[in-house]
Amino acid sequence: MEAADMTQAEQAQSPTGESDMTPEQAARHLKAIRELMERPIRQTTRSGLAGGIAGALALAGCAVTGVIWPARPDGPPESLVFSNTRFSGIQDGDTILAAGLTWLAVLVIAATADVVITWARARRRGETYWKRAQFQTGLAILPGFVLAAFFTYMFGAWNEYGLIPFGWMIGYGMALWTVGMFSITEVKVLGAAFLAAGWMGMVLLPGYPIVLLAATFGGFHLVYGAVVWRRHGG
Amino acid sequence: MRIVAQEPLHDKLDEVIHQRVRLAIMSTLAGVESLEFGQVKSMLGLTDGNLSTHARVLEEAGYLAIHKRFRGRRPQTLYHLTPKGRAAFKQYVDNLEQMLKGEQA
Repeated sequence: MEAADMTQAEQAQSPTGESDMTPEQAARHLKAIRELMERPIRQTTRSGLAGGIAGALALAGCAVTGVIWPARPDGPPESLVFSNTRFSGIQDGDTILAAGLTWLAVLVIAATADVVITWARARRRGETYWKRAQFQTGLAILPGFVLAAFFTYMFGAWNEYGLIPFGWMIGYGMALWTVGMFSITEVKVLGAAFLAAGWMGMVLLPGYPIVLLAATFGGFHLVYGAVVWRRHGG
Repeated sequence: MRIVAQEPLHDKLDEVIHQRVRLAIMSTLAGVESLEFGQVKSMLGLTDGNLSTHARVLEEAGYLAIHKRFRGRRPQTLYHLTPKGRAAFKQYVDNLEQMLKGEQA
């Protein structure tokens, strides 16, 4: 425990059973214990490279979606600039399935890249604690992903496919925010950015889901990857 | 304000764990499966001798297991908490939390 975590008096009395302990000392002990427990986990849940890969994959996903999801021939002109009107009211099951599979592939490949990169780094450093960290990360992101799945189902059922990406931003942002509680600050900032973009985009720019997908899942991740790479390495 | 109790809670604190360096080692290892000697040393800002000495005390108490292995040609010393160590650490934290609850009650 570092010197800053306890007072000199505590340090002096700690080595052998002290006669008493104040609640303040107990609270300080617990705080220091919590921080020490989190420290190695914080070091495993960061990867600038994985963030960059996720950003690149998201941009590729946006490009594919733009290609496979044709503009409505009877839609207004703005449909040509990725308007929500290209998504609402679409009944073509094959197109919906293709877009859904595209983004499922993006998610699976990005998640796999994250796990593999984290695992490879742990091996390179001779560490064996990644399983627990990954398990905790998995538990932390679960509610956010359940929320995103719920949004997907609800907006799909309402035939509002253009709003689904905003639901993903909110759910993903929530997942990142939770992971950020025991990870580096950048993760929490990224989560907040996704949450803000999701809510604000849904209210202010509901007609531009693909643009916002590219800006957030693509752009945010690339910026995050670069920042984490520079500050924390790898 | 001091804690007043018929059976002082601080008497229940495990003295092996309560020493600040050993508590730091236990805390650092409690959240992970295992850590390499050098990692624990750098995270806690300890010297080789200091870490070895306290790790040995924890090992003798049955709280810490030490494994040595080779990674390529480089020897590695891995520390991890035993089930007994994890139970003792949990009990220690529980006792601290009880102290806080006693104050709030």
